[in-house]
Amino acid sequence: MKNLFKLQGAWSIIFLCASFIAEITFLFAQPTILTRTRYRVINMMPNAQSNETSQDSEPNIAVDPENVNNMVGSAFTFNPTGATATAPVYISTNKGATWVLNNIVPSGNGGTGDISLKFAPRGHTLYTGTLRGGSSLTMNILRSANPFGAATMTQLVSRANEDQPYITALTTLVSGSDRDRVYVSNNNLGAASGRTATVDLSANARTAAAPAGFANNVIEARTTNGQDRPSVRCAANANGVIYGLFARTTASSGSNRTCDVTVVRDDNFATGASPFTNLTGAGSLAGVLVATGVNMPFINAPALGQNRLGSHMSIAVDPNNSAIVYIAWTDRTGATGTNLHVRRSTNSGVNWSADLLTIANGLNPALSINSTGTAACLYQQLVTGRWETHFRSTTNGTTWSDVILSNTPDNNPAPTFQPYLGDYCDLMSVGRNFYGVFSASNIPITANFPQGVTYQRNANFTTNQLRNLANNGNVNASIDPFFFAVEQVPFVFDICTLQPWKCRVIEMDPRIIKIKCLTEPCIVVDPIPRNCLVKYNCPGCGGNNVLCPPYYHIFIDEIDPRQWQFDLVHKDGGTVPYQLNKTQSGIVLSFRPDKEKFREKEIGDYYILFRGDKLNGKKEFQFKTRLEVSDYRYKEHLEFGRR
Amino acid sequence: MKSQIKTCLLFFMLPVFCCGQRDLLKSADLVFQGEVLKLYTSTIDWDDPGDLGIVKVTNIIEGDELLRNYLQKNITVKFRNIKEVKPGQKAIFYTNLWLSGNGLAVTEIGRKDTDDGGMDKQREEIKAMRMQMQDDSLRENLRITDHVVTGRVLSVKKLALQNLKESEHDPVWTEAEVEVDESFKGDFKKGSRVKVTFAASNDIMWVRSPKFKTGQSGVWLLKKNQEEFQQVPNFIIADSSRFLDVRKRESVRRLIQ
Repeated sequence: MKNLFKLQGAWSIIFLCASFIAEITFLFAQPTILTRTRYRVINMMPNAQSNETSQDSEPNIAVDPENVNNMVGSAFTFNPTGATATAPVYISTNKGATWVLNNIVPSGNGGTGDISLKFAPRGHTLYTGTLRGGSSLTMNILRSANPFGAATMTQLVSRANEDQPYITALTTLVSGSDRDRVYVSNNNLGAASGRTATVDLSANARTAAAPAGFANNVIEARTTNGQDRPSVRCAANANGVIYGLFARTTASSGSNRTCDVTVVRDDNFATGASPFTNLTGAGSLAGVLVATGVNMPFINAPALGQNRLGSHMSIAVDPNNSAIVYIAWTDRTGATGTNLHVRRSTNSGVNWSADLLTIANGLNPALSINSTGTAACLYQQLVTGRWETHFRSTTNGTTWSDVILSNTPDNNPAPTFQPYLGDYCDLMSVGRNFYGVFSASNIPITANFPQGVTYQRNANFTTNQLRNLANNGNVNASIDPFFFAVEQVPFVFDICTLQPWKCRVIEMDPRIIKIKCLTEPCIVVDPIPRNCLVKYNCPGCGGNNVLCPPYYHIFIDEIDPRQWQFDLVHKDGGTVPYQLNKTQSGIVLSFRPDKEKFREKEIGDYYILFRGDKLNGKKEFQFKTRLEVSDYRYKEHLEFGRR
Repeated sequence: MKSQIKTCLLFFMLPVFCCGQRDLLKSADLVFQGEVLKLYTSTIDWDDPGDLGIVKVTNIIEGDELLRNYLQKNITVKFRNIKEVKPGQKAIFYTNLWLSGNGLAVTEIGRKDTDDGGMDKQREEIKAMRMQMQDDSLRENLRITDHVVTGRVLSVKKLALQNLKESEHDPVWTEAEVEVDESFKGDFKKGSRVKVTFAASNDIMWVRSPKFKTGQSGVWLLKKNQEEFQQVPNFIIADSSRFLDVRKRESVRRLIQ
C-alpha cells in the first residue's frame, strides 16, 4: 500500500475519509466514499447592516430541496430603509455562506409578527405564513415563485384574530403534474367553541389565484378551557400521512395553563371530509393525548433568561417511514423554570415512548428527521445565566450526540420587546444534511461559538466589539439570527502538506494542467493559489471603477466533459458557487471569490476538483488552460470582453 | 389624432419616465445622484445581471441613514429599462432598497438626468416636495378623524377585558384619561376628559404602537368604531399615526383649516 503513495504522481489529492491518515489505507482497500460531519455557524446579519442594534429574534428557515444553494430566512427584522409597505427576508444563494436582506413581505409597519416559511419540495415555490406587521393579529398566507427577485410576495389568504401560522409543504404528482400541498397550522382565535387549533390547507397551491384552494380545518376535537395553546404544528410524509400537534387547555389559574399534549393524524393528505381524524384517543375522539395535565405557563414578560414563556412545540416524521414520529414540548413541573420533553412513536402515533430527552430550562425545540432516519433536535437551554443552543441527534432514539452551537449571556443585550430569543427556532433537513436557525446575543467572542462562527457584519473578535459599517466605531450588542448547517462533506486535504515525504513535486508548466491517475475514478485536486504562481497570471483587482474581486474565468481546453466532472471547493471541502459552461474546445469554470477570502494575485484558497470516469485505462492527461479576468459573468464577458 | 400622438410622444420623451417627480418621490425611499459606471454586471453576485448596472453614488438626497456609507462608492441598480442607460450617464435616481448584503442593490423607480450643477437647488426642491407630501398625508388623516385634541394624560390603568382569547401578542389594553387642552375638531371642550385605549404590551406586534404615561402631552387623533377592535372600549390609539408629538400642534392647526 505504501507503494501507492510513492506512485502518487500528483502533488495533491483529494481523500475521502472519515478521520485521518490511519484511514487512508482502508480507503484504498475499499473505495467507499466516506465523509466527515461539518458544522457551520453563520451570523445572518448582512455586512451592510453592520450599524443595526435591533432584536432580530424568532428565526425561521426554508432551504430549497431542489437547489440547496438557495435559502430564505426570517426573523423579527424591520425594513432597513424605514419603509413600511414591505418587510425583509434573509436570502442566500450560496448554501448559507452569506445572506442578504430582500424586502418582499407585505407589511403595514416594515416588519412582521410571527413568520414561518418553507419551499415546496419541487418547483422552487416559497410559501410563507405571517402575522402582518402593523395589522394586529391578521394572518397572511403568502406565495413567491422567486423569493430572490424583487417582486413582493402574493397574498393568498388574510384572516384576522390569528396566531403563529406555521408552514409545512409537500409536492405530489397528480395526473402527471406536480401539485404543492401546503399546510398552515395556526391558532385561530376566532374559531367557534374554543377549538382553536387549526390547519389551513390547499391541495394545489402553486399557481392558482387567491385563495389558491386554501380552506381552514379545526383539528381540535375536544372541549377546551377557552382555547388551545398558541403553537400548532404539522409534519408531512410524502406518502400522504400528515400529523398535527397541539396543546389543549383544560384549566387556567394565574399564569398556569393545564394542558393535554395532543397528536392527530390524517392518512390521505388531509383531503377527506373529516381531515385529521385517523388517530383516535380518549373518548374515541380524534387525537391521542400523549401527555395530560401538564402545565404550560403563560408569562408574557421576561420569565426564563429574559424570554417569555408560552407554548413551545415541534413535530417531525421520518421521511422513509411515516409510522415513526417525534414530538417535543416545554412545560413546567415546579414553581420556576421549564422542562423540555422529546418523545417518539413508532406505530403512527398510537403509542408513545417515555421521555427520550428531558432538558431542564429548555425552550424553543425544533425537530427534524433526515433521509437516513437520523432524528435531530435543536433547542435552547438556560444554564447559569447563559443561553446554550444545542444540536442533538440520534439514530435509535436512545443515544443522542450533543453539540453546542452557541453559549451566550442571557442579559446582554437587555430585551427591547418580547420574545427576547423567540417563541420558536427552526430546523429542517435536505438529504442527509440538517439546516437550522436560532437567535442569540451577537457579542463577537470566539468562545461563545464552540463550533466556530462567521460574521458578515463588521466585528472584532480580538476586542470583542461589533463595529459599524465604516469600521471606525463600535456598535452595541444585540440579538441576531444565526444560520447553521450540519453537513456530511468529503474530507479534503493536501497530502503534500500533511506528509510531504509521500509526495513528489508536480511539474508546474505554464498554461497546462497535468493529471496523472492511479485509479478510476481518477480524482485530483488543483489548488488555484499555486496555479497563480505558474499557470496563470492572476492579476487581482487593479484600477478604479472595476469590480473587486472580479470574476475569474478558467478555460480548460481539449478536455472531454463527458469523461470529466468538475467542482470548485474551499480548503475545507465546502462547495463554492460557480458556473460551468462548455466552449468549442473544452469548458470554462467561472466564479467570483468572496471578498473575505480574496487575495490579490492569489485569488484565495480555492481548489478545482477533477473526477475522471471511463478513461479506458489511460493514466496521464494534459490540458491547455488559461485565465481571463472580468467585470462580468461568463455570458456577459463574452459580449463585453475582458479587461 | 395628431394631438394624441403628440401627447404620447411627449410622455415617452419625458426625462423623468413613468410619472412625475412627485409620484416618484411617493414611492421612492432612497433618492441619490449617481453616475452609471458599468452595465450588465453588479457589485453583488447575481445570476442574471441582464438589467443590473453599477452606479457610483455621488450625492445623497434622501435615505442618508442607509446610504451615507456608500457615498462616493459603487452600488448596484436594477434598472427599469437598461437599454435607456449608458455608462457615464449622470442622473438623480429614485429607488427602493432591493438587497442589503455585502453591498447594496436598489430597484430603480425613476430617473431624472442631471449634471453636477444645481444639486443644491434640486435637493431643496425635493425636500420641499417631501414636506408637502407629509402635510398632505397628515391633512388626509385629520380629515377622516372624528376628534382632534391636544391634551395631557392624567392617569393610566390596565383594562380588565372579558372574553378575549389569549395569545402571546396580547396588546395589554390600557386606558389613559386625557384632559383636553385644545380641541381642533369634534365635540370635546377645553378641560373635558376623554378616555383613550392603547396597547401597553411590549410584544413584537405592539412594540411600535404609542405608549402613554401620566403627565404626557401630545396631539390625539381620535376615531370612532375601529372595526378590528370591536371588543375594546374607548377611542383606540394603536398606531403612531394617531398620536403626534405636541410640537406638531401648529402644523395640525394650519392643516385642519
